[in-house]
Amino acid sequence: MTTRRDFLKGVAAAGTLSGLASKSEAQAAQAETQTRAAVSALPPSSYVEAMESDVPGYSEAEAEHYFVQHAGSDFMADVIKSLGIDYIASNPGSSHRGLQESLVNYGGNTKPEWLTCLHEESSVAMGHAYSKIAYKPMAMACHSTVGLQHAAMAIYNAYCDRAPLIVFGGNHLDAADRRPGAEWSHAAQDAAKLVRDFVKWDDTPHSLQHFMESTMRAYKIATTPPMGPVVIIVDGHLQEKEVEGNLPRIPALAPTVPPQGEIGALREVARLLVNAERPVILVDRVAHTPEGMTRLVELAEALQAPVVDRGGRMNFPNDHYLNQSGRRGQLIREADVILGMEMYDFWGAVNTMRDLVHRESSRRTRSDVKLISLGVNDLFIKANYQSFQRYQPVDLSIGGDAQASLPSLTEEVRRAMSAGRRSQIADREKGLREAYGNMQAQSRRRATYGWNSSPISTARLTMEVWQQIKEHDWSLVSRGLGGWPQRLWKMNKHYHHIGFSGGGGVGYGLPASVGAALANREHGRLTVSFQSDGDLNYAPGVLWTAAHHGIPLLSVMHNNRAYHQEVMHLQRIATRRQRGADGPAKIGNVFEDPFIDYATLAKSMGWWSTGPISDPADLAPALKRAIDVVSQGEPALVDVVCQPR
Amino acid sequence: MQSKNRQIPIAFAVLTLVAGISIGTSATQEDEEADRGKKDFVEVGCYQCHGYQGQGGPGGRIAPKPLPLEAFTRLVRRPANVMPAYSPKVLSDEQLKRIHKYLESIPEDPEVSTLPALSEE
Repeated sequence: MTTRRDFLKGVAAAGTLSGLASKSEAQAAQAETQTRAAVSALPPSSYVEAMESDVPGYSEAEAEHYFVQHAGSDFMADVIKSLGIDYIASNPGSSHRGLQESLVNYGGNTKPEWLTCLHEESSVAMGHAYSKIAYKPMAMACHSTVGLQHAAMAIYNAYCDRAPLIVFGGNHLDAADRRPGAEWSHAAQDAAKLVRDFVKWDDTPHSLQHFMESTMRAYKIATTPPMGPVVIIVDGHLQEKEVEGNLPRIPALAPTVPPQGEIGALREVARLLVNAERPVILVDRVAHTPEGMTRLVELAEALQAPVVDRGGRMNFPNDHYLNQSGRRGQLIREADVILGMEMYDFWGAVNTMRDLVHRESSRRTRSDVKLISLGVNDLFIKANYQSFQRYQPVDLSIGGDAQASLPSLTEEVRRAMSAGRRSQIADREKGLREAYGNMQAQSRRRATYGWNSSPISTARLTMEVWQQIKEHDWSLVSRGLGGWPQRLWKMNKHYHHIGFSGGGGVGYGLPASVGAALANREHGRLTVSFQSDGDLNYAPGVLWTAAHHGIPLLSVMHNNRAYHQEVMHLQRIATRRQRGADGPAKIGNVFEDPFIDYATLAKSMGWWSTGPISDPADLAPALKRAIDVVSQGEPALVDVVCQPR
Repeated sequence: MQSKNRQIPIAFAVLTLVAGISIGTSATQEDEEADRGKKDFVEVGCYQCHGYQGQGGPGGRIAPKPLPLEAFTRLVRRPANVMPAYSPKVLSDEQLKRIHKYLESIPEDPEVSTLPALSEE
């Protein structure tokens, strides 16, 4: 067993926080200074300083009985630090108290910094959106059975949205070591089973070596396309007990290079696209990073092919004439070749099914269209949850990360193009520019509809916000109001849009906005969110988290005082059955009598806020004041009573 | 002749008065119908998809120039796309007429060129 003195000597010898448990380990560490420095480059925390002197008044035997000299979770903290994770979001719980204490005291509460969350669903959704701005995962700690149940829906969203997350869940595996009561109700034989259907991988380590290996593996799995959440169940006893024996060496992380489509198949795609007269590029979750946008523009320009962006990520600038998403119906109908990349729902993009009693589907495409699929969806699929959408037969299906495959595909397109064909393809540009101009003009014309109405139209609200933010370096981190920002704002940076929840689990919007704003903070960006009222009502405590951690965010509410989607659904059913109209459709779906005062709610959580605003003329001054507040590093909420959609 | 000539302006004045009253009454009735139509529009849930001003949303734009009443009625009774069919059981012809009046009464939206927020390139 490692003694306290051995441990202190080890610390002194290495001068790091790397979790050294014996002299021999300390000596080994000296030979690995470079590796260790990367793992624990921080100055000693108050914990380590305190450990550099003995506890006065106790014999060595007493000290060993009462005090833990080197807890297992200290080593866990070192492992987590080695991954370069900046934040760990958590609602507290005793099953991960050892890890929490280690990260805060031993780890100095930095890289990762512990974020205080008021609901596990908020923790996970924060991390979900954070990863789409920071391009790396956040960690979460969930309190055993109950915490993981709270977290589950948000984990499902991240799974559907292919977002990386590292979830640590506490548990007490050994029944003999459980205290009576809560430690039993908060323990499970197989804690991760609860979410296994919608995580990419999970494990329950039984030793520190096992923890290290599984956490490193989990990180690699989470961040390799198709990305997704992973869960590591951290045994409470393993966290808290004294370390026995030498600690394992923490290897440097070697991220996995994303898989690329097979070159012969990409060559065939290029041939089909070059020979097509009306090619269309359909994209959904292609661009993980700005590089993905750049590469997609190159491909589209080489082919002079219109791009229809389904918006799962910011894939293609909307001020580029080849972004013709607003013409998707016509383009898909007329296309002779459609390349779908990282499509969440390829079937839904090329077929329709009306919401009638008898579900009938029809194809939107020409009968002779060639369909090509490129993406990672076929490389990873699970059985139970049906988020993989309906099966779409295609002519060519290529497994590979689209972003990683784009440079080769574009190169093959250029190679396949004769000078004559290049000239013919270049001739498409004029018509596509004209169509783009018409599409833009039509969007602006449509935005005038109901311009002066009260409740405020979503297009008016969109443009009032645009007028205030357009000179800033802004980032829209929510679903846009009916897609108006995508139609009317200039969106040409990767952080101008981060996609959606993935699984459609309501309650993602507010915590996701806070998480994305956290990632934007270090870049000094103005983070903007259109916040729906129904979403905010799920777990408003994350408002406090934003205020507490000084996360600047402009939250502009789309307050229609209802779960309006459900109002429409109920109306549809009642109308189909020839009974009832709007009144009954509201039952169970609207927030009236009383209206919810979101401005006061936000204020109570430490936000600057104003509203409700229902006169469009009042928007500009309110938004100006809110942006002043956000520019000072604080969150601000403007409650706007809007048209339903 | 003189008396006949005097009668002409009197008759004209009476006709003008009657016509004026008649026109005034008609306008009021139409306003009332439009007001009632607005209530119907909300009560039967048209606003849910078309917006309170008929400006459109998930459903198309239906104001300020709705289809002629006959075509409008046909579309509501037998919609072509995702709109649910409203049978006379839940929406009477009278209500439809009033809703149509309401949609006709909605003022035109401003032109893009008059809105700096939209006309800036």
